Amino acid sequence: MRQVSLGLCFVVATMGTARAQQACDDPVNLPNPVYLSFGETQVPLIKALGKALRATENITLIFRTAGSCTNLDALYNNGKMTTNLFYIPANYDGTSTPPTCTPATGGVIPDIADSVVFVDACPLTKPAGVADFRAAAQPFSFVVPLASSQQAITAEEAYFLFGFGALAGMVAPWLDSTVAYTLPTSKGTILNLAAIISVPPAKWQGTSVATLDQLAINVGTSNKPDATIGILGSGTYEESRSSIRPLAFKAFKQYHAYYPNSTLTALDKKPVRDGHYVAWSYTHWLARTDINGTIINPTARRVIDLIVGENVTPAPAFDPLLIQIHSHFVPVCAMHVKRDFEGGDLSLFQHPEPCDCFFDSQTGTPGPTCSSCTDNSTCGTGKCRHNFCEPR
Amino acid sequence: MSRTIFLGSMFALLAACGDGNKVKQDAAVPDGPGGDAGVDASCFTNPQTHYEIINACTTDQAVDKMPVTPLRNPDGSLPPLP
Repeated sequence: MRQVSLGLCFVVATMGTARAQQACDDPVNLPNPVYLSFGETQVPLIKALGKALRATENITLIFRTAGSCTNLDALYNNGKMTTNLFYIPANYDGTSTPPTCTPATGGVIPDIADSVVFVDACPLTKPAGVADFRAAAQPFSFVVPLASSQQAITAEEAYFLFGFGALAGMVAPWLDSTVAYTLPTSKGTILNLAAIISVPPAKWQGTSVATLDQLAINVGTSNKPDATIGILGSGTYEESRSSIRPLAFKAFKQYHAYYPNSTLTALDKKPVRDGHYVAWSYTHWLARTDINGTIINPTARRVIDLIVGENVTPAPAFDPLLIQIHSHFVPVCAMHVKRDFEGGDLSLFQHPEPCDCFFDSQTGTPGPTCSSCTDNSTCGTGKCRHNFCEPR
Repeated sequence: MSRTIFLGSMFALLAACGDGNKVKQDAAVPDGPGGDAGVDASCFTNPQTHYEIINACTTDQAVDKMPVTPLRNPDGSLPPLP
């Protein structure tokens, strides 16, 4: 009898200590929430930014990941996020998988949506009262396992491989459609590469994988390394360098193929910045605005301003530019080319406040003309930015 | 004679433009959707247009590849998608 009593006490005690699922609308544990719906490639950025915002401004980022077109659809049409969401907790380490919370009954409409491609690449119409804020550039790549013998792919090869199918396309060694991995047409990655190789997203042939993370795993663990190929954005494949690598890419009318970085192992994204690597797009952050184009939600406005690099008041206690750079993107201040639509021709670009020296200091070695500074006095006709003399 | 040597040297210098740090996988034959863009090993030193930008002189590592694409049209153009 005593053993039964003890057993019952144990069960009751255990039930009493079972942890309830965290509610997203808990103002104590998740203060000053901003709800976001963004692409998987933005996860490193949001983790780092969320950590900084939670620690210094008591803002809680609550989010889900989805394809660019899905994100836009939710914002445009007040689509509610009803499943469990991730959130950045207090004392978050910035890299681990965040915990989840349950949204309020009926779900929640995102305050911010992200597209990793020009919004016109999605078959949606942006309504009045939603503004699009352009942020950093992100390269997209055809990726292979480390053991692959292949170093490069041309736009023509990709056209046949993904437009005709692996076997019918006859582009050796990529002749097995079961390991030619693609993504759903809602994903910005396929939308960009579709424009670059002139194969509409709906016509891509291969094995579709639901998420970029799973695609990276499939490519990285394939037992057919030569036949295996996939597509990813830098925000994902640079987190998986231990198992996959990007192919150098030769665009239509280009003489040579180039990696997204100046070498396979570099992090400088120089070919993206100078136009030799053409498969890239800007990230876009959108929110609802008033008739003057000002984001209505002040906390969402601050988050977007920090992401796109606007000067904000009060100034943050962290460097948003540093977060962008270390999230595998190229801030616009380090770009020297631009484009006006998805896959569009490149043209020369000069940012009014360039940050090349700072970018290079974080991803490799600053150029020989880069000198350190604390103010403009030692920069001649240039300006001291992030402790480097930049040309203006 | 000295002028000939000088001109020869200049041509050699121009030919070397953009040659740094290339990895040759196959012989290089640049091509495009409208057929061959022309066999041209030079690069553009003052790019202005899209074509010049993507083919500008650079120290970025380049990979040369001659793709084998049996479905290509005889004139080098791409057939329509199925």
